[in-house]
Order: sequence, then structure tokens, then C-alpha cells
Amino acid sequence: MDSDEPLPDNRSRRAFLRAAGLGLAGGSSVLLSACGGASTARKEFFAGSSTVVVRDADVSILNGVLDLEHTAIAAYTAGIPLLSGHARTAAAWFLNQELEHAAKLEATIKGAGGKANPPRANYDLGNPRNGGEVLELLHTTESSLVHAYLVAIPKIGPGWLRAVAAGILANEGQHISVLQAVQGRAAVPSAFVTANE
Amino acid sequence: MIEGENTRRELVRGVAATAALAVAATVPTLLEPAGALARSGGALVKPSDDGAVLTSLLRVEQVVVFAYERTLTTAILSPSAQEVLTSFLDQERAHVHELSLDLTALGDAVPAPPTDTAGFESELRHLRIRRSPAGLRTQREHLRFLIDLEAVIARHYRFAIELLTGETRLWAAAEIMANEAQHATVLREMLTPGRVKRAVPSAFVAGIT
Repeated sequence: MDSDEPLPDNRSRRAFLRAAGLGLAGGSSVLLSACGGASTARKEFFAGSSTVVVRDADVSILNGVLDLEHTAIAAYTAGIPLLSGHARTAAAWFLNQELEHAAKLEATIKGAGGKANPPRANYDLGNPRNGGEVLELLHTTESSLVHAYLVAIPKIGPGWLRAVAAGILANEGQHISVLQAVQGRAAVPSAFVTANE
Repeated sequence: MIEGENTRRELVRGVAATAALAVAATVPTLLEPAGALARSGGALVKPSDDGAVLTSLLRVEQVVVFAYERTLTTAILSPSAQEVLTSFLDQERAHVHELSLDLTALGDAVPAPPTDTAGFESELRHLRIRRSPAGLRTQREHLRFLIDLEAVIARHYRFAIELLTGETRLWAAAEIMANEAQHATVLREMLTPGRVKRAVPSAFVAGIT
């Protein structure tokens, strides 16, 4: 078994959280209701007898990282044609994963009753002219994502949502590691993935 | 191989035990509450919830450090593998140092690391790792074993991030979890060079349902 395999199913998560007595639950099969005033409105997910509160602030945080995911998708889409060999294969794979991240964030935001930010019509990605410059652009973009998730995670309310974000952050760290190796740099230069490596 | 479900159950049992021991108790871990109680020698400690989570993480990190040390001293490795694993060992030690500082600052006791093979194998059993380190022969087998361990620790960090409350602590745990994911990626790349889909198999590390 490797670290990137999905958890067995939602029952595991529910059992975990029930056992912890934390009153949390997550997963895809949830019902939604809303309560509270306009500025402090909260959306509550109900799964069984447990409740998870996703605040408007959480939706805002998720939209912030979604914006950067859209930027990354644009960067990979624009840059892949200038890459070749292993770098191109890796970038194409990472583009798929960025699309998965964006889809997950969008679904979570919508599930909480929020509106997911759409991609912009265009992005200022500079003017990379060759594979090396594209790799630098992708590295910079991934680093921005890592930083955004690091800032976001402590601010996200529900624990299960923090874990979702952490799982994506770790995947972005993996992307950086591969990109750095392709660039001839140390794949894992630091014990802490800080976005400054 | 690991059994993630059991690992999580034990992890949670430890947290629940901590919550129940709110007044005065030894620090139970998320992995082996009873064993931790016995090992701590009965010292009276008032654990915080974050302390229990950190203790669990620290114990897994200590196991991982022991595993890298053991691999580097007993396995026949290529020079490049030796270099990579040495670097990863240094990084795992940095994690242990960071967690120990934080745990101490919380007033909780730092658990004793495994000091011999018997203690190491005992911790592996608690982590539900079935692959015995005693039977490892080739570099590939050693790498697979370390990948299993990196899986265990990434999973622990993921659940820790669900449970932790301190902002700085959450930030640090996220940084370390990403680093462990990078380790797994590089180790997989060493097993199957050039196969990026194997090195980075999922968009969601440690499983998202």
C-alpha cells in the first residue's frame, strides 16, 4: 500500500471521528442546510448524527486556492507544448492532477452552498520561450500553490476539510520534487516544504 | 503492508483516551495507549489534545528514523541510494527535533525512541506493518519497506491535521506531511525510474474520500 491510495471508504472516516468523540463527519454523501445571519452565515453538513460546519470564511479560503489552481492549470496547459520527453510526460500528468484538485475544490464549495470562482479569461504567465523557462514557470506556480495551502490549512475550520487541503498540498509538494529533479536540482532539499526551496 | 483502518482506529482510540484523561494521567499515544502508559513510568502529566497527537506523530517519526538508520547500516545500497537515504534520514531527524520541541513546550513528555531491533519490530507491529525488516535482502525490498513506512507516516499526519488545533502546529504538520510525500515520490522513482504515474500516483496524498 502506498501513501497516495484513497482511504477505504467514508465509513472509516465516520468511525474514526465518532470514536474520537469529536462530532465531525465528512465525505461525499452529505445533506446541506444553512443557518445564521448574513455576515456569520454558516452551512452545516449533516452526515448521520454528526455535524460539520463549513463557514463562509472557509468557502472564501477555498476560493482563494481555487484561483491559484486555475492559474496552475493555465500554466501547464500553455507550457506543455514547449516541453519534451520526461518533463512533458510529467507535466501532462500533473495537469490532470491539478484539474482533479480544482474539481474537488469546486465540488466542496458548491456543496457548502457557495459559488466557486471560475477560471479567468486569460492569465499573465510571462513569455516562456523554451522548456527550461516553462519548467521555471511551473516551479514558481507550484510554489505559490504550496504557500497558499500552507496559509489556508490552519485557517480552515472543519478538520476533514483541512485534511483535504493537506492531501492536495502534499501532492503539490510531490510535483515540485519531480520538477526540481527534472531541472537538475535536489528533489527534496528541505525537511519542511515551505515554498521557499 | 499496512492496515490503514486499524491504524486509524488505534490512532483515534488514543485521542479519545487522552480526552478521557483530562485531569492527570500519563501521556497515551495514538498508536498504543496502554503501552505508552506503561512506558511512561507513571509520571503524572496533564496532556493536551494536541500533545497526544504530537506524541503519536513523534513515535512514528522515531520508528521511521530507526528504519532509515537500520537500512543505511545493514543494507547493501548503491551509492546514489545511500546518498538519498542519508539525506532523508537527516530530514526525519529534523522532524523529530521539531516535534520534540513542540511537545516539550506543551509540557508533555517526549516518548522514548526504539533502541533495538526488538523495540523497532514491536512498534512496527503496532503500526500494522506486516513486512518484516528481518527478511529484507535487496535494495528494492528495503526501498519498498521504507515506502510502506512513509505511507504510514503520511497517513498519520493527515489525520493529525484533522485533529490538531494550534495554528503554528498545523502549519508545521502540513510542511512535514508534504515532505514525507516527497520522500515517497523519490523512493518510488528509485524503484521505477521515469514512471511518473507511479512516483506520483494520486492527486490526493494519503487518500481523500
